[in-house]
Amino acid sequence: MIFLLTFDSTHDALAAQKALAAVEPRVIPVPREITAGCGMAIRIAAENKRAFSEMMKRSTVEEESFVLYQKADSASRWVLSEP
Amino acid sequence: MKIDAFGKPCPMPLMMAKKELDAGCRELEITVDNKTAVDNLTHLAEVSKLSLAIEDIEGGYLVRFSEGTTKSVEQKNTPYFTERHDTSFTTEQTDALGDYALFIGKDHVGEGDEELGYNLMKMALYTFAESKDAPASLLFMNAGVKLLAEDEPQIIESVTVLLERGTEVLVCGTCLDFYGIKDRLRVGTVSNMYDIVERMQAVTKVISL
Repeated sequence: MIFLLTFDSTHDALAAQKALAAVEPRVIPVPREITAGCGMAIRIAAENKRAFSEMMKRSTVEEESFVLYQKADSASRWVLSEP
Repeated sequence: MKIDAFGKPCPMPLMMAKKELDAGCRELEITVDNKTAVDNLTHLAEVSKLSLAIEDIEGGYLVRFSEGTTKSVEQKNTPYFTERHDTSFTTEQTDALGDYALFIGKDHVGEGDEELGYNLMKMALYTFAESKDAPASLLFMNAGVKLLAEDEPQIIESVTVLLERGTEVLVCGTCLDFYGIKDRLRVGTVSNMYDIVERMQAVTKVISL
């Protein structure tokens, strides 16, 4: 599964990127098909979101300041990841 | 013609050899004491369409230029040697390349906050790697070379994708040497000012990040 996090602010994106270091985050521009607050997004390849949700909880980024998307493979479209 | 370039710092051996070849010399022997010089001379032979023989000698290498069809030059060990042969001189993948070069003279995009700039660099290289027209060449100089010697997987990945798409990746050897990271280069070809300037001149547009 591929996950994408978009953020309200670039500061949150940078903070999240540090907090997620263990899961090899990739900093990418927010894909054109998604409109989101700031242009910096984080892409993570992981089996499931459990791999990084704890890390996000421990970070300084508030839960309501980011949106999580997912898709099964790079050919698919991003969909909102259900909580 | 014989040249002793032992103890001469980069890019002196290359310049000495180039001077002789430019003057019309076609049979040239040059002794050098480091791999980078051999690398540079190998490239010089290829662009000059001369054949090359490399011999291990005590404390260095004897590099012999001569006329004739270019035999495959025996090369080993250093990773950038392989990169050079995997990329710079293969033409089958280069059809989709854009008519532009990307000059990366620092390890961040723009001026201002450096952490932001560093992350913008990661994003920019990713976006170039994903875009339809890959650059004809990626030219790294000054602190830009650090990007290729760090353990930041995203940058190495993006540059590797571009290499596989046919982009030539040239890295300033003088700069790697200055920062003391020559042995940590992860991807790309150690190069020099001649080749880098040549790549800039060969395209209609050079983009600096």
